[in-house]
Amino acid sequence: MKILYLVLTVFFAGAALLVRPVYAHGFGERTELPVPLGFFLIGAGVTVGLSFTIIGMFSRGNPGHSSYWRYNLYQHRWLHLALTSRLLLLPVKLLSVFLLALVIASGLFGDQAPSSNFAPTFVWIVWWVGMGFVVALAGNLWALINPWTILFEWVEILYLMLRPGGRLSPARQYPQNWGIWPALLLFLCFTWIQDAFVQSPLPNRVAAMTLIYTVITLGGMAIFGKHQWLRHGEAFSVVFSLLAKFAPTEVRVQDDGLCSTCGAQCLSKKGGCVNCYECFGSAKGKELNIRPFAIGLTQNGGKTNDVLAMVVLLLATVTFDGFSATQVWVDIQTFSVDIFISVANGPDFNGRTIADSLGVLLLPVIFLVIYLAFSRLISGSAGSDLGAVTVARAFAYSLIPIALAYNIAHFITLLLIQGQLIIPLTSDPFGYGWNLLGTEDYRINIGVINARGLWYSSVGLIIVGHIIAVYLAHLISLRTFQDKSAAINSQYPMLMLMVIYTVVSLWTIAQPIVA
Amino acid sequence: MTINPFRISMLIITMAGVGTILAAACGGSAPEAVEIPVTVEGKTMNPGTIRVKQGDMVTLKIDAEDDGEFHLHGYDIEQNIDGDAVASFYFVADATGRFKITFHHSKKGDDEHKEGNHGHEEEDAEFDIGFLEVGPR
Repeated sequence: MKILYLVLTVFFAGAALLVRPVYAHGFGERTELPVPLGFFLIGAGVTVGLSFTIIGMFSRGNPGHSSYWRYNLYQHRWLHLALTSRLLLLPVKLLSVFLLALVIASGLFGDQAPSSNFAPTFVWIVWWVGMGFVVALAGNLWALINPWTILFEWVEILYLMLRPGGRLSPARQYPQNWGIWPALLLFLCFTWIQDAFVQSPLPNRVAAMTLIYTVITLGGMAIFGKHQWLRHGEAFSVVFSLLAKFAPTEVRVQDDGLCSTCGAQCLSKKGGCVNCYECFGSAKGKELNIRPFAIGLTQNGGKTNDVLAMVVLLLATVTFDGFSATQVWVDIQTFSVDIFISVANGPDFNGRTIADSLGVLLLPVIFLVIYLAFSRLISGSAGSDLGAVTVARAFAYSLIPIALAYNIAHFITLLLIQGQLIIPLTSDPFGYGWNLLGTEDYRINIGVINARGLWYSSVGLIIVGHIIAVYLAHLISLRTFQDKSAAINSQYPMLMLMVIYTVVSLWTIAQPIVA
Repeated sequence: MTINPFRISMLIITMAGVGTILAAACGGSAPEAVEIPVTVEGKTMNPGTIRVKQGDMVTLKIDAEDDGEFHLHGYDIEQNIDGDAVASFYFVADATGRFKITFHHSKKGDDEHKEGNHGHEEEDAEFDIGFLEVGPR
């Protein structure tokens, strides 16, 4: 089975790479107006002002609550039945696997103009941007509809039917010291393709990427076991589960016996385990809770260097995607083209690719160095003897809300305007001139977003993200340092770091998109 | 004083309220008919960025050096331009945003245009020549 997959993939991926590329024209074009200077200045001023107001409130306030409000949706029998019904889940799962197959098929066999093919718009805009929003703002939908998990489960069922009583047990124990590094590496590749690879909008490249990733994921699950690979190697499960910590929903298992034997070691000190899908699958005391936004980010136990690296990579990636479209970056690219003109001068590989690749690889390192330096300051201000890395791990999640808010401000126009392309493409996924659903003639409506509304909501959103971040960091500081005054003192450097990150984000949305 | 998410939510809601009022107060003038002279030479357009307000009825008076196709992205309007005359390119700027403008040069007497033609990239190239910015009123 595995060999068949491998042969097919190599064949199709190879075939896809041999096709002469047709260059991307107008795919994923950005149409938002930059935020005017006045908005930027007011936004930055409000950020700084509110930061001090809030920290003033903290110094007079009581420590935050250790548990939080939640409302279990499963307590309603009909909701529980509806949400867990196989009859309802099956079509969703079928659709998810069908879409994966459609991306690969349309990418390989369809028209190669990016905007007349289903694959690029679906993968880069609807799925990558859209799923990120859903996961952060609603809940971890990806855990439910991950097509690779579904495929793997089907293969398992098939195996059981062929060999009753047999078990498709993992071939190997997952090496625990690998942590989530495999997921991080795969995500770094994905980021590189997105931000540096010139041919990323080409349908056959999208299909090849999807096919190769499918083999890696199914292979990883077959070798190390489904749950182990989802937790450590499947880049999107790892990234989306980080973003889902912000979401106002969680799945919780109240079955400490089960959770203590679970491979994920998910049992919290207070009992129960949150968003652990391995336990959730087989548990008795299940809850699907509504909870306050961002509260999932306050947990700070058990974070390791790999998780810290992943969070920093995520923060840097989000920033780079916006920054790489500004004039400043275009000037850097031009400079790089001049330098490397003798080494790399092709349409696919030139100074611009080198600059983008360096950006993708170096920005996370620069972020990490800055963050560690500030972590050292935080520890020093609190008079604590905790090392910079320990402090950096403890506070890493608190920066996520700023990145999320910026990510929404940065991508919302792309999703709502260019994302509309999926409407005609659903009727004609291969670009053959079909009209399956009668939506083929749909034209993008560029008027769905008003610039002024967008400016207010973008700046507002980033400020709200900043406030949430400051609040989270405060909660974490109270747990990290011995007493309240140390905790308060620790927050001045953190506040400065957050103000810088927020102002950089605001600055970026105030730049006209030129690339 | 206890600090809780509720207080912070109230703070945010108040700010959003103030913001909305400010936004409503900033509404402005009525749309007008505007005529903007534009020149296209090679890969550059002058002005590089055309700025209008939402609702304006815009006529671009395009004076291009070469024959070609003037393409306003987003609005997705294309018009063939004759290099010898000034062309009128009319549209109503009903959607805000920043839209790319490209120019597709075509050579005069270009009848040997075939598949596999060398120099294909040179002759058929489409250049980004500038932007149209439609600001809110």
